[in-house]
Amino acid sequence: MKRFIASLLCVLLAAPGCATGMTRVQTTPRPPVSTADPSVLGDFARQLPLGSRVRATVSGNRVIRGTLLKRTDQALVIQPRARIAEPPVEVPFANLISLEQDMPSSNTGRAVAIGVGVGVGAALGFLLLIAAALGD
Amino acid sequence: MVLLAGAPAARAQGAAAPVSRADLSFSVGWFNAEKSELGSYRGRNDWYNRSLYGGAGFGWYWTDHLKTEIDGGVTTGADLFVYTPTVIEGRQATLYSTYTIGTSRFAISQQYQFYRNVWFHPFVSGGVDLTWERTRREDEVYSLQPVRTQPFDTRTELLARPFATVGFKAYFTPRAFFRTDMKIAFDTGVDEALLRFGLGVDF
Repeated sequence: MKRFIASLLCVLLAAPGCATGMTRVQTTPRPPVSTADPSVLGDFARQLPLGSRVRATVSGNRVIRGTLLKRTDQALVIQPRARIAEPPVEVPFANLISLEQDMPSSNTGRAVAIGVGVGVGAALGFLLLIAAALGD
Repeated sequence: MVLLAGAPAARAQGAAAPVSRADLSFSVGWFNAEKSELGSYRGRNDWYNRSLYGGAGFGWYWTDHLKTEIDGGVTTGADLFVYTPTVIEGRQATLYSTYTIGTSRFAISQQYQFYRNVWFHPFVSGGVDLTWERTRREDEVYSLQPVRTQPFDTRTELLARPFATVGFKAYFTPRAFFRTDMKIAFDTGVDEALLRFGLGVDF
C-alpha cells in the first residue's frame, strides 16, 4: 500500500507541473460590452472585421466562441470553434448579453503543451506499469 | 442503478443529439487490491501491487454529458505470501502460504463528461463492478521434519462491488483520444484501485 500511495503522490505532484506548461499567454482582449443599450452591441459588432474571433454570451449565460462570418442589422452569424465542426449559429442582438473579441492564443504553443502533457502522462504511466511488474 | 436509469430519462427530455454517439477504447493499467482477509503476518501491507490490467470499454452517449459505459478486462496473476506460526504435533512450525490471485471483470457505469465538443474532457462515473477472482493457494510447512508442500484447488469467487472513477479524455484528432482514469472499488472500505491508460475512438 505504501508503494502504491507513494507512486500516486508522484503522479499527483507532477501533474501541476504539466499544467503550468499549458498556461495560456494572457493577451488584452477588448472589454465585454453590456446590453444596457443593444445598439451599443450593434455598433461594436459593425467594427469587427469578418473572420475575427469572437466570444458571445447569449441568454442563459451560454457562451459561443467562434469566427464571425456575417453581421446584419439584427444578428451576428458565428461559426463555433469546436473539435468536430458544427453549423454556423445566428445570434440575434436581442439575445446577446455580451460580446468581445477573442484573441487567439498560440496554437503551436498549445499543441506543444498538450503533446508534452500527454507524453509525460504516458511516460509516467509506463513507469508505473514497470513498477507494478517489478515492484514489491 | 439510479444513475443508469437517469440516462434514458435525459434522452426522453428531448436533448439534442450528442456530438458523438459512441466510443470504444482499449486500456492497460496498474491494478492494486486489498487482501487483509488472507492473514495478519504480512507486515503492515495488506495490498498486492504487482498486477497488470488489460481491457476494453464501449460507451453510448445519451447526451453530450451523459454516457453509459460497459467495460471488461483481466488482471495478471500476482503472488502474495503469508506466513503463519503454528503448532503441529506439539512442535513449533511455520506455515508459508503462497496465494496467486488473478481476476476477470465486467463493469457497467454511468458517466458524466464535462464540457461539450472540446479537446479535453474530464469525467466522473459510478457503477457496479463484477469480479471473478481466482485464487490458487499452496502451503509449505517448515518444522523439524522435512518440508511438506500442500497444494489446494483453485477457487473462484464472484464479487459485486460499487465503484467510482475519475479521469479525462484528451483528443489528438477530432475523433481519436488518449484516456486515463483512476477507478476505486469499495467493499467495507477501499478494496481496489486501478490506474488505467488507453487509446480510443469516437463514432
